[in-house]
Amino acid sequence: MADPPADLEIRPLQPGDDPEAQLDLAERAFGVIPGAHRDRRLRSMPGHFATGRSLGAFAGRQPVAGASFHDMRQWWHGRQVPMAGVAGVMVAPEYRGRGVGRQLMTALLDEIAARGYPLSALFPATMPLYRSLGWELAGARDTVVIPVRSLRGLLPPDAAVSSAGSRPDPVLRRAGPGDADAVIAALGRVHQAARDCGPITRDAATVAEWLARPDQYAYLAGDGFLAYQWQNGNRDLYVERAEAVSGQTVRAFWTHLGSYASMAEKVYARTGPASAFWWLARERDADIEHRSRWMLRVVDAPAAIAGRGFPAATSLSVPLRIADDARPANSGRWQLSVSGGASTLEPLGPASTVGPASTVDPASTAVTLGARGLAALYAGTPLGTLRQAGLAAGGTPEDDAALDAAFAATPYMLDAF
Amino acid sequence: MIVRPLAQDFDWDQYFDLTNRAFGPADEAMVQPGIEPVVAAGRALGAFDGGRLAGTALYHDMRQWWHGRAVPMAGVAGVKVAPEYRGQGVGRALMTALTELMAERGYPLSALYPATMTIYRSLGWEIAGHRHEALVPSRALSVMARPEPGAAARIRRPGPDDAAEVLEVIGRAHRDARDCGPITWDEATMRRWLTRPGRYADKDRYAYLAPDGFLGYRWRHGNDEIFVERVVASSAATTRALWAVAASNSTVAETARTQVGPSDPLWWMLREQDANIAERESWMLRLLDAPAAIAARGFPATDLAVPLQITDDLRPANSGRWDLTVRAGQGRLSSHRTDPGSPSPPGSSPGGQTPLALGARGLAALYAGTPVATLRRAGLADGGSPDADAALDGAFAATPFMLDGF
Repeated sequence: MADPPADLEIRPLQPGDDPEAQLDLAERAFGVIPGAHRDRRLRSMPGHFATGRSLGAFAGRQPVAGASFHDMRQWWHGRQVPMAGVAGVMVAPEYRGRGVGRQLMTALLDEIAARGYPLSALFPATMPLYRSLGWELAGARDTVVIPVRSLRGLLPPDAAVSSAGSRPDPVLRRAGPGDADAVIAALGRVHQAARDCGPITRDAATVAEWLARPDQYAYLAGDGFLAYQWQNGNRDLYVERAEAVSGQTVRAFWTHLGSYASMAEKVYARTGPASAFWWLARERDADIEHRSRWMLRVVDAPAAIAGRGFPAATSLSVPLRIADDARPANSGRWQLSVSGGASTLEPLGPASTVGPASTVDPASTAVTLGARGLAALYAGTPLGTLRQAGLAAGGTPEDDAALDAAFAATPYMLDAF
Repeated sequence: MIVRPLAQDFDWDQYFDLTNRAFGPADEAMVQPGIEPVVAAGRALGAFDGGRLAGTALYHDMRQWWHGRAVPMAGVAGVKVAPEYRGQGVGRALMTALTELMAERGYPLSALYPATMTIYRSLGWEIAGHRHEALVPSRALSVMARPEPGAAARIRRPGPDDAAEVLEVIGRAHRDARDCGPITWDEATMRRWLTRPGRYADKDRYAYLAPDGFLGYRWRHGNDEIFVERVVASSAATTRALWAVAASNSTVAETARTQVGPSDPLWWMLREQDANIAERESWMLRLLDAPAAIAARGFPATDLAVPLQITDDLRPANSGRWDLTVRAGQGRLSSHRTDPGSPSPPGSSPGGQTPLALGARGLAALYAGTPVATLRRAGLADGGSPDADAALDGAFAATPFMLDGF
């Protein structure tokens, strides 16, 4: 590794910072941004900088690295937890391998913690940096694909299930920028009803901006939201969202998409691994086209535990020992208690160093986790997997079974950031 | 058209002709030893038009792991109909008879990999889980898998006489992980696979056994790729040591194609996101005997009591009003008894709960951990209550997988 740059300054970007220089940095890192997007990005930058959620690293006046986060809510077992969605982590080529990214991410994590986010998530381009700061793989984001023709004549509701199918078809109405709150509410009801783990909600301004895009066809039903656009000219469709609470609306959405069979060949769509989508086609025509994985960090362990939902019928009380160098407030001995769908993480105080020889120090039998193991556990990774991957130790088989039942999840996301 | 068990002296030429027409050219030398014991055990049915074999369907005797317990499972395979007999109900007649046979022989569960889903859905199977193949540059494996000193010394090459131990070791790994979905085969089959030329013993296919782990892999595409059929182990040290054996081929094979479940430690052991799912095959499940299937599987330590209304025309013994209870990891499906002194109206339980209505397909998908919200959205469940949905999701939560195709 080359020497770390001597004159590096890391600070929040401000509205006065040069957007062109930031865009140049982004293009060197992620590739060239096409014209229309470029203008939009340039215009929106001062506003984003004003939020203080973007950090820049400067060598003299030259920006050499950047990292920012979005203000998001993430659904965990049907409850929303504030989450900082890290994005745009970039280092100028000539400054790579000199520790700049690590300094920047350390500062960003401090900023995220200072603002009170219990959680942070990101899509990694490389993992060692984020792992060294306590992020760990937590969930997937799938793009699925199905021939449009397979959406004509969906599998009907099971005749054995009496009343399904007897309800009236939902009415779809076009949604515009003024419907941002309604869209957020509809998707929230979907994720809450399914007690989903992983999906995120953006703020109303971002959703309004997205709904204003002329190439986006968006529809609201009473209990769901559908949004899609053309892809590859008019050869395929790309579905951002087709999520609803009821089977009638889910069916109406996919049937609506099936009406494109005269024009389009395939539907690419974002949907989750347990989405009803997988049970709607008559034949095995649906597949996962691409899977990205995202990482999670538990920034404030007690707040993250208290903020999420848990299965109502599960109760447990398990001692944990957490070691988290980057967020020392998470470190120490804790008692994790879950009951009635809620949970607390309470400090147990330091392990006693002296005690009667006949008693076992409870700390020595506690499930022991680093920041990465804690994040993976939070996301429902089985304890057996964590142990095999070297992310957990200590504790008892009974603890493992109880923790697995409490955190069981297959987290997913529908958004990219 | 007559459907009857294949007799042991049946015409192998006709059988292979049918297999080739249905599935493409088969390696007869590999297929026949696998089918012979199935025929001998009366687990293969044929549809005959006079002397002509028009179709077959068979099942393998398996155990399937559900939350750490092994449930007897009939693994349906070799369902094929000769091209000129298709669309005439031959497949349905075969599968109906096979379902009857499997139920008679006491299997609580049956699973299969569908080539088409319509027929199996109409008989009560539903999508339950997947078999994944991940593609990894083999160098990424060798970076990851540094065995602990001493672990490698405990790895040996198993022979036919190790069949029982191999099954024990694989089963223990699934039990310890409380896995849902993976299967174990019978001992005779494993013995055959460990005997040359078998699935784990031939000029291009290998197995390694540790006291608490098993590795099976083979060459593919010459020596360009290794196919890691499974790495299962109960300890982290053995997991690493077995991956190190597979990864040592990275000097020759460029890629490793590996069967792993969605929660396999491999995903968390790789330094970078080098593994991608290259293949994902769905399998379907059917509950042949609902009370037995519930009683035999494991559950998390969660308590629930939920009324179910099951409609299963093909297996009427599953139909009716049931009370599902789970307590201390043990499930029970008991026939709902109405209390004659109870004033509750018909259609509701004494506790006032409306039962969750399920067909055979919804029941299979629920058993496999499909969230009840998804079942409702897909038209596979109705009735019930939000509280019951939450309790059921907590009890059945799973992302089932398999490491075997059949």
